[in-house]
Amino acid sequence: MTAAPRWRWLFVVPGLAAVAYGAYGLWTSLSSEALTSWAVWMLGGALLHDLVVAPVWIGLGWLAARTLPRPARAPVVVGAATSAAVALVAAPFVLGFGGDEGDTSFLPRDYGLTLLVVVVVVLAVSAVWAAVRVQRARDSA
Amino acid sequence: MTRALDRVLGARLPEPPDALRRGPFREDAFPSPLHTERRASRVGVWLGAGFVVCFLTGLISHLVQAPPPWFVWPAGPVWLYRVTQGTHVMVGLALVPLLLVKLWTVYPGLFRWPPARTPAALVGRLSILVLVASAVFMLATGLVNISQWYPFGFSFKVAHYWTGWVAVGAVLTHVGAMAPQIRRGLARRGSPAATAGLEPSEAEELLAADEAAEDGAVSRRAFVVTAAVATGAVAITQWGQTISPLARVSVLGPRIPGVGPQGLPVNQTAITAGVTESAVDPAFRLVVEGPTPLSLSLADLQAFPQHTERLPIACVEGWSANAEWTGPRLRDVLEAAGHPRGTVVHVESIQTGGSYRVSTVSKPHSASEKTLLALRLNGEELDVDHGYPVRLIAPNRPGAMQTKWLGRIAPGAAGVGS
Repeated sequence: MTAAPRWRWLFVVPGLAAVAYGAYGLWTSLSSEALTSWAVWMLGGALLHDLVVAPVWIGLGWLAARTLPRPARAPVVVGAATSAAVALVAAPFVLGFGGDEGDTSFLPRDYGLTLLVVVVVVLAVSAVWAAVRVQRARDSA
Repeated sequence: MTRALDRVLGARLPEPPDALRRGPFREDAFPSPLHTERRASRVGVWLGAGFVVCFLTGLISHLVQAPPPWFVWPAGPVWLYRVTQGTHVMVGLALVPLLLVKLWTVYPGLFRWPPARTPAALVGRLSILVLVASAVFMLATGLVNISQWYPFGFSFKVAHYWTGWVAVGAVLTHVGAMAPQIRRGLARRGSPAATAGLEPSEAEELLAADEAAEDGAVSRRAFVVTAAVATGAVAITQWGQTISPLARVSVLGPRIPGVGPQGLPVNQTAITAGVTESAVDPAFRLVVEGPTPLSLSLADLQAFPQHTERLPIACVEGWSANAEWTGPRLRDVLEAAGHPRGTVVHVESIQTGGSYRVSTVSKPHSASEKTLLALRLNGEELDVDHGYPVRLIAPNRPGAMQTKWLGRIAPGAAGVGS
C-alpha cells in the first residue's frame, strides 16, 4: 500500500466540520416533531433508492440482458434512463399538489400529457436507434 | 492512545456464516464491468462539483435573506441574484440523474461481503449512509419545494439549509476518505497511477474490468452517453424557467417567464395573502414612519416623481423574468418622511395570510435609485396578484423580499418572513 495522498486532509477536516455544524444547526433549530419528520425523509430517501429505485432499474437491466439482442441494449439503456430522469424530475409537476389558489402562472401546462409525449418520443428514438444497430450487426455478420 | 484506538477500530469483527451470502451478496451478483472506482470517480467529479456549486449559491441566498452583521449584499448588478439562484436550481435539477448514475456505479458496495470487517469499516459505511441520505434529501426537498408542495413536518427553509451543510461536508469528507480510489479512478486507463497501491491480483482484476467495459454490451461509451443525455434532457426540459430563450423547449418546467398576469409569473396570490378586498379598498393608505410621518394614498404616491426601471423578479424557486416597473423611488419617499439617504427600513404588507409579509431593505437597496415603490407594471396599473396598489421592487434581491401590498414602512431591520 502506498500512503494515501496528503491532500485528503484538506477535504476531510473542513468536511467533518461542516457535517458537525449542520448537525448542530438541525438539532438546535428543529423541534422534536420536525426532527422526526426530517429523520424519516433522510432515511426514507436513502432506503427508497436502495430498496426500490436501484433494484427496479437493475431488474430491468437483467430483463433487457435476457430478452434484447446485444446491439440493442445500449440504445435502450440510454432511452430508458433519459425518460426515467425526465419523468422523475417532472413528477411533482404532474402530480401538481402545490401552488397558491388562483395562481395561473404556476404549472401553466398539461404536464401529464406533455410528459407522456416526451417519453414516447424518447423511447421511439431509442427503439429506432436500436433497430438500426441490430440490422447493421446482422448485415456485417 | 493512537495505538489503542487503532486496536479498537481495526479489530476483526466476526464474519457472518457464508451460508448467508445469497442473492445480491453473491460474488458475481453484479456482472457489469461499469461498477468500478473509475466510473464512480469520474461521475463523482461532476456530482461533487455540482453539490459545491449548489451549496455556495444556496449559502448566498441564505445570507441575503438572513444577513449577519458582516454581510453586505449589493444593489447591483441587478441580475446577480437572478444568476446565483437560477444556477442553484438549474444545477440542483441536473444533479438528479447524475446522483442516480453515481449511486448505480457503487450499488454493489451496499452488498459487500463481509458487510464490515472492522469497526472502522462499519464507521465508513455509516458515513456513506449520511452522504447518500443527505444528498437524496437535498435534491428531493429542493424539487418538491419548486413544486410548492410541502409534504413534511419541518420547515423547508430551515431543513434544506442545515442539511446542506451536512451534505456538502459529507461530500468533502467522502472525497478525502476515497482519495486513493479517486486518484486511481482519475488517472489515465492503463497508466501506473491507475493501479497505484493495489495488490497485483487486485490490479489485474481492475484492469480486466476496465478492459471489459470498453466493448461490453453496454460499454463505457454507452454509460457516458446515458449520463450525459439523461442530464441534458432534464436540463432542456426544465431550465427554460430560468433561461427564457429555452422556455419553448422546456416543456416540463413549472414556469414560463412570460406567462402570468401582465406577462409576469406570480408566486403568492392575493387570495392566499387574504388581500382581495383590503388591497382595493379606497381607504388604503401607505404609512411611512419617520421624523415626518406620512400617510399616503395611491394618488399621493402618484404625485411623487415617477420613474421606470427594468428589473427582474428572481424567485428563490429558480424562475426569473424581467419587467418594467413604474413608481416613486423608495429613497424619495423616505426623504419626504425625513430619513437620510441609505436608512435601513423594513416594509410590511397588509396581507393577513400567506408568507413573506415583511422584508428588510438594507442600506445599498434603500439608497439605490432603482428601488421603487412600484405602482405600474409593463405600462399598466399593477395587477392585484402583483401587489396592487403598491409593492416594493428593488434590484438584485430574491422575489420573496419584493414585498407586495405595502401598508407600512418603518426604520430599522425586521428580517424577512412572517
